[in-house]
Amino acid sequence: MFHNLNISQSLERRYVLAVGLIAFVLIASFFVFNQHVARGADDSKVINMSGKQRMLSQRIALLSHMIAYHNITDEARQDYISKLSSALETLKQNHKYLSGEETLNGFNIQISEETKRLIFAPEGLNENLDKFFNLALQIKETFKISGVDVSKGSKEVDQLVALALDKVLFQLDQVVTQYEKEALGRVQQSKDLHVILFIIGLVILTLEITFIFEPMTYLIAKSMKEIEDKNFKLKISNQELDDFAYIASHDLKEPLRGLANNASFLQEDYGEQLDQGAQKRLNRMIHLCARMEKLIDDLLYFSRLGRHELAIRETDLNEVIKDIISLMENTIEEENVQIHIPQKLPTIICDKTKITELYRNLITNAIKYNDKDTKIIEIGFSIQEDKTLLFYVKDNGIGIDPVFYESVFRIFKRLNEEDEKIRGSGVGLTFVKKIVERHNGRIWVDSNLGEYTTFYFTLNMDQQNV
Amino acid sequence: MSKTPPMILLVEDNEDDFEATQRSLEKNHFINPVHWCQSGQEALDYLFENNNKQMPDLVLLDLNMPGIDGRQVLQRIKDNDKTKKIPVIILTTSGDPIDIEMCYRLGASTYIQKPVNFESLTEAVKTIKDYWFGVAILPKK
Repeated sequence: MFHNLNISQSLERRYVLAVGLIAFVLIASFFVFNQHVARGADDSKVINMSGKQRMLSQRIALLSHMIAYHNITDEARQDYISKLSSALETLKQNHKYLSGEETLNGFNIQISEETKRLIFAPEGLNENLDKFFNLALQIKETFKISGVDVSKGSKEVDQLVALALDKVLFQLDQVVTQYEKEALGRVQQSKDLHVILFIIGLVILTLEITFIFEPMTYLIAKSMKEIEDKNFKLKISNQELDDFAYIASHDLKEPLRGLANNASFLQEDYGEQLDQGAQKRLNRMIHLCARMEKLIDDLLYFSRLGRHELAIRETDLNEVIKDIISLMENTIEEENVQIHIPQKLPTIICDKTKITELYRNLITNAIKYNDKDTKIIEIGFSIQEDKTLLFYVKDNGIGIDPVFYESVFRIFKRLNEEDEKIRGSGVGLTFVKKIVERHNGRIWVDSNLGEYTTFYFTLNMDQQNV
Repeated sequence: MSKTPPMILLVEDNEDDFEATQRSLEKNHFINPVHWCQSGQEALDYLFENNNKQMPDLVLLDLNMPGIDGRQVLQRIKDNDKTKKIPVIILTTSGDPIDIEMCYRLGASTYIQKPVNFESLTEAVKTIKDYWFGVAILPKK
């Protein structure tokens, strides 16, 4: 038992540890997943923005070309110029975000060193874009005035187009590729983390099986076996107790018989020589021997109740009561007994002989311990909440003091020992209790002194107990 | 009816019990000889060792005795052609259903549990005497 306690304590610790680890893995997985999703969203935004930058650079080049070389109305040109400046604005702003110069409300673009190098290198994207912006601004200023001559073209536009096509586009491409590479790296990192967490989870499960589930199974099996062993021992010791009572009471009878015989012989052989007092004492001895014989017989019967197998079968309790009443007809008439059965009694599975004995004892008791002119006995039952039956035998007798509620069932306990009228060996209720217990039931008493006594009992014998 | 008066073999290891049974017989005016064997072995010796002895008309047999007990004596009596006709009445303390079953199976004529009270014993012995030496016809020797 002590050993088991240790095991169960260490199991408890392991269990708490396992639960803690699993909780940790779950929480970690949750954070990794969340971060993964958030990063994914950020990365796609950045890549999308970078892609837009390429498109914008080409759009600006195209618009500039249109403004400078195409023979269009002033109105159309002004429209192009406003489009150009808005594209320029977006390009500029996005570049600020993408180069880390400004943050986009709460959304932080992490620019790696590698990217920064790409952007801020001499002749790099940053420088070229600056040039690009300046050229675009000059173009805007030059062609703002209406009626500009477009026949000679524009040096700035040529430079801007060349810059856009040769350098900016290429460098923007490079940056996008870099971003993509980094995003992919981060996705891989998340994936790796997930795999690690998954493996940790599996390992914890395996450990749990090995260090918790297995020992627990062992412990449960062991406990079950211990309980079985104990039950077996208990059964054996009960059996031994019954056997002991049987053998002891059996052996007690022999010397008792010798005692009784010798007393009888003494009376027969020397009776005439004895005076009245001595005669009386001798008679008392013979009487007490007879009384002791009765007690031993009861003890023997009691031990037999525990020793013998029950003969279980379906029994109609109405028949049982009918048989008892017909056997006790004389007593019932003499004692002015009325037996009430409020509702038809059920048919139950039990040992018919023993249950008859049980009811006979309870009825005898109800008559014996009753001082009323009309002795009323009620025999009934009710269905309890758990669908089992609760039986009762109620009388209007002298009642039992609550102090004796338990001891009335004890063997050889007589509550009214001095009263000759109701003296018995006092084992009737002990038999009743034993019979109820053999039927896996319980018996208890409820009473009000001078008014009534009710014996309640349950009998739980079903087919599977047979 | 045989010419010799009926005779009883009483197998009983307990002196008090023997005396009680004998007194009961006397009280019931059984004046014929009662041969007392104090053990199972003695009973077997009486029945089987000497051919000159008078065979009993009835055996009153106790079950629980040291050495060879009543069950073995009963078995030997019922196994032997010479003695198997003799009615055997078990007179014992034991009320064990196993003993009762076994004795009848072995061929006991009656099984009586010894009453503690002398008066009850006298009653029982009277019944035995009235039945076996009054109502019943015993086999010829």
